Amino acid sequence: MKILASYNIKGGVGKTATAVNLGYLAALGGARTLLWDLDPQGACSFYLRIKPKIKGGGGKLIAGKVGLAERIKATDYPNLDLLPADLSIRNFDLMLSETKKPVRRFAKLLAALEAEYDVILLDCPPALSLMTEAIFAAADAALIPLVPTTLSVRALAQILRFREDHAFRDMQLIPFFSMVDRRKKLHRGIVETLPQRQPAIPPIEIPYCSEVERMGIERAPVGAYARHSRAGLAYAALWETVVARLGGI
Amino acid sequence: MTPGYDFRIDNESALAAALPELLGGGTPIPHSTHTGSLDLLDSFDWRLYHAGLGLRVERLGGVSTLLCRDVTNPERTLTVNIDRSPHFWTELPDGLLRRRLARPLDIRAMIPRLTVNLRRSLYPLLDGEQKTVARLYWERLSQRRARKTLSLLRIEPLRGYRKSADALAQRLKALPAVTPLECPWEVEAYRWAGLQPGDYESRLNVALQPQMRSDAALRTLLEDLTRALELNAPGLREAIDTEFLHDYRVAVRRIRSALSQLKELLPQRTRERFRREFAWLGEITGPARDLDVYLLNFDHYLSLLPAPLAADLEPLRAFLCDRQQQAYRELVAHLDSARYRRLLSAWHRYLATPLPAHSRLPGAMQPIIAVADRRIWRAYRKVVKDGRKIHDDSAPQQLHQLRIRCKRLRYLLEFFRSLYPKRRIGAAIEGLKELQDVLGRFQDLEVQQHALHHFGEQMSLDDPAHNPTHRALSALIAKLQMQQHETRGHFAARFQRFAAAKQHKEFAALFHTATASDP
Repeated sequence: MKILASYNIKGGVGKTATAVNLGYLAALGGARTLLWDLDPQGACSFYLRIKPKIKGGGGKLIAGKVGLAERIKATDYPNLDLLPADLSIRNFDLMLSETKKPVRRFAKLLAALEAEYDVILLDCPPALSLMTEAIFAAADAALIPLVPTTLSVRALAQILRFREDHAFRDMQLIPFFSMVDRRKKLHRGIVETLPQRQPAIPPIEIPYCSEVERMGIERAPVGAYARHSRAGLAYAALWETVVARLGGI
Repeated sequence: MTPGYDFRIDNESALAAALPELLGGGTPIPHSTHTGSLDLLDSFDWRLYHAGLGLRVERLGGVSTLLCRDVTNPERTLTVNIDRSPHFWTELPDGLLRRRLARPLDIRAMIPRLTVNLRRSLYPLLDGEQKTVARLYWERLSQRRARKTLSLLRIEPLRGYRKSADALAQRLKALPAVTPLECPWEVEAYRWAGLQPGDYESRLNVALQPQMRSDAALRTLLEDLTRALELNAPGLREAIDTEFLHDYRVAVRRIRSALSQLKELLPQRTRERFRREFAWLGEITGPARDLDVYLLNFDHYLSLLPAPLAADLEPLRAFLCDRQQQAYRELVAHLDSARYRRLLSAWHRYLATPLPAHSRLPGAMQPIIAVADRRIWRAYRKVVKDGRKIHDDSAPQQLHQLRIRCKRLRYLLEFFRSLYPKRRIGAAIEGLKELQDVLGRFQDLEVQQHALHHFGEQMSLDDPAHNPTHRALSALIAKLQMQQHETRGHFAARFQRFAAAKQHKEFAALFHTATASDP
């Protein structure tokens, strides 16, 4: 089972779109896939038309009183399930800190799903906290959407430092360009120069385009309504890269 | 058992009229309707059916999908899109589906047991967010040649929305247009097509009555074994997987064993003729089976060697594959021969000949239980007697002899299993099996060393440049020799356990009865 986190300290960079679209592609490829909407905003749950609510709240899940498996919902797509968001998840750090060995606790929760899923994709809220630590400790890779702006480049540097400081070297970082607007000079410049300093960035751009924005209207992954669009193809290429970097799913 | 989500449609127009209300108002328009084909897959011995799994390939709307359904928990259906139907689980991409199929299928191929045309309409049951909470499939299966159709209605429950599926099932149960299935829909489809899942198993399962005339019981037994032999022949010819040949050979060996161990029940001429001919069948099927075994063991061989040496062994695999194909070609030629045809038709003639009202053959008129008791007891005593003569320095040949004696006893126990209390005969077979395991392993390792050595010689004849392979082969043979030595060390304890007083008493109580005296 591979655990992937769609993560950035910055908000509004396309984390949720990444989680939903890659989750959809993983499932389409035959991998039993679980998306966990860890963002209390519940955008991921919204895209998949599932109420952002966990019966009994998230606390019981984190404390291990209720198994994650009991709160999972099927999506409209074969092989793709969702653990919905819940408002109580905003206190995730607090809930986690109340357990023994909080960082390992989270990995243990996920490990219980080993027999049921090939891939778990975590849609993470923008933060750098105990929760981030727990996610990085459990994940095989973190997918970092980067909008080609100065602040994003700075955020990537912060994430890299955080990983170094906490010795999460087992986890791969897969930064990639997201919401790229080729009309903007700044975007073009960063897309061309940053990979020279950060060779982990693959030559893939998720474009800033209406197909991705339409996810909120269609309430579906891009692949389900615009598979052959520029964005649809870019997500497919990104998923292929992720699979290759992980050495297969 | 299926949790009640599958229905047979008895009246299509009545169902169509009831659908709007069933799906919560409005005119129900199917989300999609596709036509294509459906294969239900299982191994020849129905391993998936026995494991409670339904495996199918759907070709609908230009897409082929492999789906594996746990019939007790249909929410956990696993699917993968495929380009072509896989034969073995090892051909599937890594993942849960592959892992789920690995254990039940093991070395058996998945074969399409039933292929039908399929027309399917999907009606999703939606909630207020337009989210699917259950899927309702209206499916029409048809076989053009047989000109028959089967209409099914199937609820696919979705994880986390069980209540919605249950409520829909309840509403359907109240409809006179449909009847809830009492079995999983896969089984219903098989039965509709005239197939009986589970109708073949490699374990011998003949139902005999203790008081049956012995010659009649033997007939029943031989008919059953002949059926097994003939059922496996087509799969063997096509080399679908190795177990067809294996089960075919087991049937041949059992027939031979019955002919020789129950000779008092057969006229001498018949017996001699068929013993000779079935021995020939044993002979012609041997080389292909041996090569199957080496290839099945190959990965295990590799695991015995350090990595660089293991890589050097690979040319042997190619060599064995070549030989295996050649051996299968030769075997099929034998099965196409006049001799084989003559054998089968004569054998069927013999099996169809009515038994005489009064047989002069010794034992033929006796109840089968008497013959079984006597034969088993005698075979058992021979095993114990021969086994006791074996010491730590006895020749391998002696162990081989004992192995044959054990095999004879095993066949008798299996032939007559239905005549004895189930648990007790089962325990007797298990006890013997333990002893057989160690003897079989010892002998197999002996044969493998010789054969591998022989292959090595043949390979260098073909191409003397294979020196690294020879080195790897020598290392492998040395490893097998060590294992054989180790196996030999287990014999004494195993035999002691088999021949222990308690076990002896049980054999005596079961088989050394008043009826067991010689005629």
